[in-house]
Amino acid sequence: MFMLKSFRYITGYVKFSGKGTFPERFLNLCANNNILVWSPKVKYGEISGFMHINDYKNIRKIAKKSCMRLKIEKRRGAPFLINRYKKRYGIPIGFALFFFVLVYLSGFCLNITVTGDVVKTEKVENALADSGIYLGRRISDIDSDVARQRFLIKNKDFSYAAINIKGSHIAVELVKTDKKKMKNTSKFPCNVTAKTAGEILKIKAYEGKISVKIGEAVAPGDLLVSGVIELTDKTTKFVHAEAEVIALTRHKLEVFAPFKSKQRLKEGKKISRSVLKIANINIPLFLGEVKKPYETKKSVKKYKIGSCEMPLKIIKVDFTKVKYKKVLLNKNSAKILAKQKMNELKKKKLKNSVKSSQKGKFRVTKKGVFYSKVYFCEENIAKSKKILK
Amino acid sequence: MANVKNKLNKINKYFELPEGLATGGICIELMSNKQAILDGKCSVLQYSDTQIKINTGNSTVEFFGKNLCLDTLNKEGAQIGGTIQKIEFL
Repeated sequence: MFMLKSFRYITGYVKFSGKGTFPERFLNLCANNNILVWSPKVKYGEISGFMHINDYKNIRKIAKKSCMRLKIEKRRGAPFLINRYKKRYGIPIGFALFFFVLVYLSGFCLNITVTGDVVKTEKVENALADSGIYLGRRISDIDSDVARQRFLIKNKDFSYAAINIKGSHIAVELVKTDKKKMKNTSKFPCNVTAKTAGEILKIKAYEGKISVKIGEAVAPGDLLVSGVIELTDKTTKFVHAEAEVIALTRHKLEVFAPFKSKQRLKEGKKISRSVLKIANINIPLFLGEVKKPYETKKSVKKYKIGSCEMPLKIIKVDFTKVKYKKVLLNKNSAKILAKQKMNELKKKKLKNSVKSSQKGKFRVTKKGVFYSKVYFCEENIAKSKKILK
Repeated sequence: MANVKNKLNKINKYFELPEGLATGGICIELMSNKQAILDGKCSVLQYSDTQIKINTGNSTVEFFGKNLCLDTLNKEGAQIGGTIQKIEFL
């Protein structure tokens, strides 16, 4: 019934009424002339019912034969609606434009989702973009097999990638490489050599032949544990030598604290600038530019419908104005600054391996103060080196 | 013409088919008392919401009831809706 009603609405129909002497004859003549009349009602010589618009145009002769005078009571259906709005050119143009935009935009990549054991980060997005998968690219230009292979070649962190194109949506599935497994499976024959110079304190060899003794001094590159083992039958066996060699090492660090320097200060004035990003098109939502120098803080607001991410982002950048102030230090202040710098460098380079240190030495020049200090550390100096290249 | 009709009726009887099938009789199908489907050439003689009189060629069928309505009427048949209370063959 719904289909029938829809069909009648699309083709258009009229509700008619008529007065006359032979309403039954009118119905019979309509039936004989293949004119469909539905829901007819006859009361006291008056007839009313429904008819298609094309049929109503051909009904004049029949009405005359059956002595009926007909009139239209209501017009219903799409043809009348279109006729009513035919002078409004904006509506058809809008419809055409809507479908054009719909078809045109569905040819572009509008959404990328990353699944698997990785989270979609900027790094992954950039890696995918390098392989040819980015928002706003034409779907017909993307070769998923080529992009997949390119991605795996460029990114060794991933062992598996699948790229599925579903309309304007691209689903990427990634699996990370298990580095531990990789290490175990690629057990190439190698020696263990010294990373830095030092005095051996402890050796823990898991595989291979120890070549040094405790208390012995070694230079960088010296052999510590050999991967070449001679067996009792005078044959040679190559193994993947593995060892932990703790040695007392010496590190000399030096820093410089200038008398004249520029200090960076925040002014506190913040200026926000937003950019609307549709696929890979950036639309600035501001006028003018921010004068340098400044510090920036970027925040991205993404829009979602359910779990589907929209190709729409608002990127907001907060600019905080900064100014440089010239700072003049005296000898003592420069020394304090040098000590601070030394502590920072020690934390960064030597971490927690420092056991003892010599007293630091200052060297004053025209430009500033040099501060050097020797640290003695206990650290693992073992380094694998392939036997066969 | 009458002889042909008699012969066709005889053939119908021989094959145990409904009488009047070959001679152009009308087939009336009732869906409870809410709808009647008339299959065959027919024309309306009288039409109101309590009574519909239909000419089927050989005979006349009269439907009595409440809110009767001729849903469709065409060359092949007719469809009557509403509450049918009585059917009369004249």
